[in-house]
Amino acid sequence: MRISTSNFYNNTTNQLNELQSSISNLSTQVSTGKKGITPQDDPAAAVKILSLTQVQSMDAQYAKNRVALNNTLGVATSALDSMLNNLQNINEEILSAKTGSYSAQDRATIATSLKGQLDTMIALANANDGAGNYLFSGFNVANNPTALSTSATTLVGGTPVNYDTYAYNGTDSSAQIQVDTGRSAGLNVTVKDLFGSGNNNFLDLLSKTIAVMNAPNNTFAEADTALTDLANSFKSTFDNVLLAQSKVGITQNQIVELDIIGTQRNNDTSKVLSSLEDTDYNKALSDLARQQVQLQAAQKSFQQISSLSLFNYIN
Amino acid sequence: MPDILYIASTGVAAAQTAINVTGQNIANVSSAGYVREKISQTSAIVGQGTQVVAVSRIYDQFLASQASSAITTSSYSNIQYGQIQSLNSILTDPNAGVSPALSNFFNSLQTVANNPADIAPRESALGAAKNLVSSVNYLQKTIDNTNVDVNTQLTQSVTRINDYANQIVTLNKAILGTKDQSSLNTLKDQRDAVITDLSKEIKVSVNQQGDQYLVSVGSGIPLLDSTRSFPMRVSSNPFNPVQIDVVISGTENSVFTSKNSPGGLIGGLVEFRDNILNPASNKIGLVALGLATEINVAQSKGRVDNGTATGAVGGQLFSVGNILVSANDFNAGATNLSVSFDTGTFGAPISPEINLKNIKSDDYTLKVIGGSTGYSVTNNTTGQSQTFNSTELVLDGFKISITGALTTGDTFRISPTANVARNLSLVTSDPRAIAAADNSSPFLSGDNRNMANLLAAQTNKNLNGGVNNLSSSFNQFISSIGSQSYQLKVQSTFDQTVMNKTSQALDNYSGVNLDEEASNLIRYQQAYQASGKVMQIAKQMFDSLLNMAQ
Repeated sequence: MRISTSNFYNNTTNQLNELQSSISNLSTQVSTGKKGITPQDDPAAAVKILSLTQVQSMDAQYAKNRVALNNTLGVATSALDSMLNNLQNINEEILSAKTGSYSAQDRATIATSLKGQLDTMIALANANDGAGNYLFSGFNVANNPTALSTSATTLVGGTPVNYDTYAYNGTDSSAQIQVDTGRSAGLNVTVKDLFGSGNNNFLDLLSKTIAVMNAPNNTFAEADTALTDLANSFKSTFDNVLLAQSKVGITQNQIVELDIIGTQRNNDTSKVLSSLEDTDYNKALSDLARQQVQLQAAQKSFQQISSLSLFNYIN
Repeated sequence: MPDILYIASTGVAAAQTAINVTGQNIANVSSAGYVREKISQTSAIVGQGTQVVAVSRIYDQFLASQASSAITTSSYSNIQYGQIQSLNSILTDPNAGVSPALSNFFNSLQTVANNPADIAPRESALGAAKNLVSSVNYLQKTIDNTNVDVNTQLTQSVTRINDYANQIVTLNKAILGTKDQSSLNTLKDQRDAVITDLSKEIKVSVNQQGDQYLVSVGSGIPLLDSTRSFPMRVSSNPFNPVQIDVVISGTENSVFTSKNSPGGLIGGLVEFRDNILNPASNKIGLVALGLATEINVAQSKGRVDNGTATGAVGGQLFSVGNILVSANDFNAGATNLSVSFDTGTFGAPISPEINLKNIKSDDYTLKVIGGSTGYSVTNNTTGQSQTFNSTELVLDGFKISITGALTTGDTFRISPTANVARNLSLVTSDPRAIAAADNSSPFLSGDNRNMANLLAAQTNKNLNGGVNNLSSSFNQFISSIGSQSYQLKVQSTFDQTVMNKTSQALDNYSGVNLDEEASNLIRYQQAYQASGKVMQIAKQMFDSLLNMAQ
């Protein structure tokens, strides 16, 4: 076949160009560690990479959400722990105050101690998450859930005695946080759940008992009636706090499980992503070596063939 | 008696011409478009020696037309492949892309859901919303810039085509008026080179009449005859002033579109614009419309802090602007059209709420037919056409209201989603505007119940007839650009190979081979020397005859 001289040079130049561009592409793959897939190289893989990256990004966000919720739950758990301790102290005071031989003076001493426990209890009920958001107030995170309400009156020895009552200043439900695809969780513990609401909630009864025991010349019978009501309320309140404690514990366990599942899923996604977008070094390096040899051979043969010319023999 | 000296001198002269031609060939070994020449030598009648009858171009019209049509095909796919690159690279950019911005926006809303009472997460959510809007606007900007580039290239191509047409007319005339063989060959080389250049721009057919080329382009539209050229021109699209059409000379409304593609650069650019670029605006617009609608509807279900105990119903976060309606420049009548998104049954009450599921990323043409028939609305993508005669009409998620007198022949283009990505904007800078709380009174800062509605915007399947959510609709768009890009890559590589092969076939036939010329050089040198020798012998014979006579 006849070949024009310029075609011979053009062809060789084109081949050398192609080899060089392929070598440059391979060395980019090797140095960046990525295949650099664009939709035109492999539309299916490129879109798969995109959607897996989106999945990873959502998973990462759920993990952050779980950390945020877990922090809240941690703060709530320690508040609930302190409440349980405090409740046990109150219970001991109740039992001791029910001693028939105690004088009104003795009961007043216990009442002072109970007042301290009441203040602690209110402080714990109004615990916040560290950023100033109240934990146990449902959606009403900006306001303390346990607020001083009106004062009530009871008769001690025929004389009216005033005592403070407390109202719940929040909502029944609380914020839910998305902890995984299609799964939400929250603290779901309010002051109302713990101490009850309306008349005869635990805090009101405690306040009333303190007022009775502080009243001058209060009798054992008067004190005992208030203490008995308080003791009954104590039992259900202690159970409520224990229940809340275990609810929080269960949610914390769920978060741990979701973290494990999430990490596993993230590893799986990363593996698939890596297989799609990362450089296959074995292949890339062996291709690179092969093409370098090819380029050298092409250059050598070009040099040798181009020096062949009939004009060399015309003198 | 035959004159041996004369015979020998014709041999010397022929060999000299041959050596000249060889020299010319060698000198032009690297000249583009040079066609090698060869002498045709025949014996003259007995006793008259030899003669060079022609110095001919070694050219094959069949190979040439194959090469020229391969150039047209390759230029057609290559320009489309080149143009789609601008979309391809921006779509997968891991930093500037819409996909990561979409993910970031919804992730930031999650953080708001975790701390609805805090201002900082709300501020970063607004920041993420701003980034998302920017990335959508930027993608549209890239499409718009590509459109400008297409306009520029079309204009330049038309200028070149007209220039080539004039050159061919001039060369035709020069060829007709030239008798000198070597000048004639050069003129023909030049004319064939212009045909090759013209083939890049548009599909060319050459009708050779004698030594004249009559050229038509596309599907047989005359570009020039033996006396003059018929220039093409560009003109603004009657529906879209920023789009440039290529108009065929003579027929006012004859425009090259993807439906009558003329091939080559012009055909490739026009098809790229009709089939890839303009649909891209519509598809991205649909995603942007989906985002704005879903979020705005979710906002209307929630409540925001406005400083009062009750709070206020959430307002819109995004605005999408108006539907693009373009009246044909040639409309004669007073027909007036206003088109808006249909405030249908989707979602909770919000104005305007949009019936997302029905909205298609297509263009429509409304044409007034007249009489009692009214007007027709045609979906330009599917070709489906319906006729109506009411002044109000709801179709595919948008509502048309017609005012003014219906004038027969008036046409309008309606592109419901074409402008959305361009106009998408964030309408608030107040971080409290994110309606995290449930739509019940009183407003409580820790209430995050409406965040579920806002977050559901990411996963609700209300796009493309209820098949896709925001991301999957966008991914589908990327995937379609990707596979078009992939097909164009394969096609343009193939076409380029065919072009190289056919051009090489022509060049191998018509181009210079130095070894061949070297051997010719030796051959003609020997012929020259031999004829010289004959002259020498003739002289010796004559001399010996003279000596005998002495």
